[in-house]
Amino acid sequence: MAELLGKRQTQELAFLELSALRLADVLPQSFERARIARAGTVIFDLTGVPLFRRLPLAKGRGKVGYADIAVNPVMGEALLGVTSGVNWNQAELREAAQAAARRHRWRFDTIRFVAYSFPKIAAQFLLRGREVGMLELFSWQPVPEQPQERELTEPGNFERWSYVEAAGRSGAARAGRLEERIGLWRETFTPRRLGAIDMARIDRTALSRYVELRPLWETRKLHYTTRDADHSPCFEVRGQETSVWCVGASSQMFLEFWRYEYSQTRIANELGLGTKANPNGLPYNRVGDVPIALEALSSKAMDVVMHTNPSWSLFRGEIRANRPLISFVPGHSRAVAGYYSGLLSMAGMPPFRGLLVYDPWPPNSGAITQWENFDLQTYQYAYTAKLPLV
Amino acid sequence: MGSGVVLPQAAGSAPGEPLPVFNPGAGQYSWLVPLVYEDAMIGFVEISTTGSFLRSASFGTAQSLSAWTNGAEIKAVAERHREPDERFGEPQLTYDGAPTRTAWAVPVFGNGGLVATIFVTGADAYRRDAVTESAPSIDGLGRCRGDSGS
Repeated sequence: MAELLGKRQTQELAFLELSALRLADVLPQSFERARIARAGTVIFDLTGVPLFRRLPLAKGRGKVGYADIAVNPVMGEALLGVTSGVNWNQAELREAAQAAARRHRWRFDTIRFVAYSFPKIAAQFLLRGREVGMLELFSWQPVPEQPQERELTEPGNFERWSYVEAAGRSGAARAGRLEERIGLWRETFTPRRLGAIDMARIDRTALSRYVELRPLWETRKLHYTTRDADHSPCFEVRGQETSVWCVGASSQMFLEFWRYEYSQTRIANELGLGTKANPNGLPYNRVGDVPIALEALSSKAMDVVMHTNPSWSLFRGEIRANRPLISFVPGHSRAVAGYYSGLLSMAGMPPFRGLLVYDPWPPNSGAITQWENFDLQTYQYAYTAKLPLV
Repeated sequence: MGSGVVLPQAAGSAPGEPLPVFNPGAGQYSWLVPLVYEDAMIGFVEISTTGSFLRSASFGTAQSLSAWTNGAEIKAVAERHREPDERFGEPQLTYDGAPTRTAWAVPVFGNGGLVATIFVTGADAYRRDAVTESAPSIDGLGRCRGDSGS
């Protein structure tokens, strides 16, 4: 049998695995700086060997939940599970188990917690090393004896079976998996580094100094500059001031990003969209006028280009260059200030691609659409701008 | 949607009752699920009738939930654009031209039948007369009477 993990090693693993989940935001903020119990409760296999430790997690006097960390390499993984909002109090459970055993008039000298049907747990009562009875936790129902010869079928819903015996030959391969994982952690977290970390509490910051997070998606929003640390999204939504001025409002958002601040009425005038009292939309035969108007409003500082049937790569490329776009879809115009692209997909389905759209609709309010499904929209035209003198 | 997609930031907001959005001609186009915070509608999620995610959005200015869900209130906003001898039909949640221009359409009837549609978007409304004819434009369907309100 592979060597069992010691108490200190288990705590190291608990800290690393739980902090990694915090870093990836898989565990919520409520887990940050939660105290990890040092010893917790050892949960045994029916064969009598330890399987894992259940480690309560707490913040002050509040209970956050508990984590199950393997001590037996046959489990194959380090972190078996995290439960939130449920308290694990070993002392109280022992008291309750003793009270339940007294009702059965059992004589025992030892109580231990066993995974009688992993992950279901029972209290096992022993007298001089021999079992006198077993009660399922919380229901306190006696767990039936193990059948002499189990048929090769799935266990029933209230039947005891040994995790170690069920693992059989695959146990060695599973043990290798856990050892490999521990090895990977140790490549980064040398004893010296670990020695400088308080491993008693979940801490995403401590982990982030050494671990690079590789996201499962790619996203970008307009920033103040191309520096990642600058604030984002650096863009403001403007509602269209009449029911037909979406091009005017989109142009207003677009120009304001470049610090050209005009009223919508002024922009509408430049685009030939009428007045606020008598407005009109931009006819399709005049889509080519937009670059001319935008360049005029920038005193020719901007070089504006119209793109027909804009592709995903155009939107993505412009946003990555920290430049907004105006997007025409059939019957409507909006500004685009970001994108999201999933890198993983469900079987047979393309990854999700979405645009961060600053939509001037509804009038006088506008809406920030985060995200618009790129693959379900028709993109007719897009407008981009560069400052050639910069 | 892929994991990690961020929906509109709205601590404490909750999804409201889904509203069917109809195509202007006939048939349902989508479901619009308001994102509600107290009595305000701060945004929405729109799902196609086949279950595909279309978009999620947060309004630039929070809207009154009842202005988007209560038929009587929608008619009251539309009232600004109704002539004395006209009467309203039943409002329907639809879109004006482009599917992302979501609005309540209130049909207006006169002696000769349908004379106009008043589109209501929260506190704003505008009227499009049935006889209006103009070339298709990027901003909806053409010239409207009146502005979009306050």
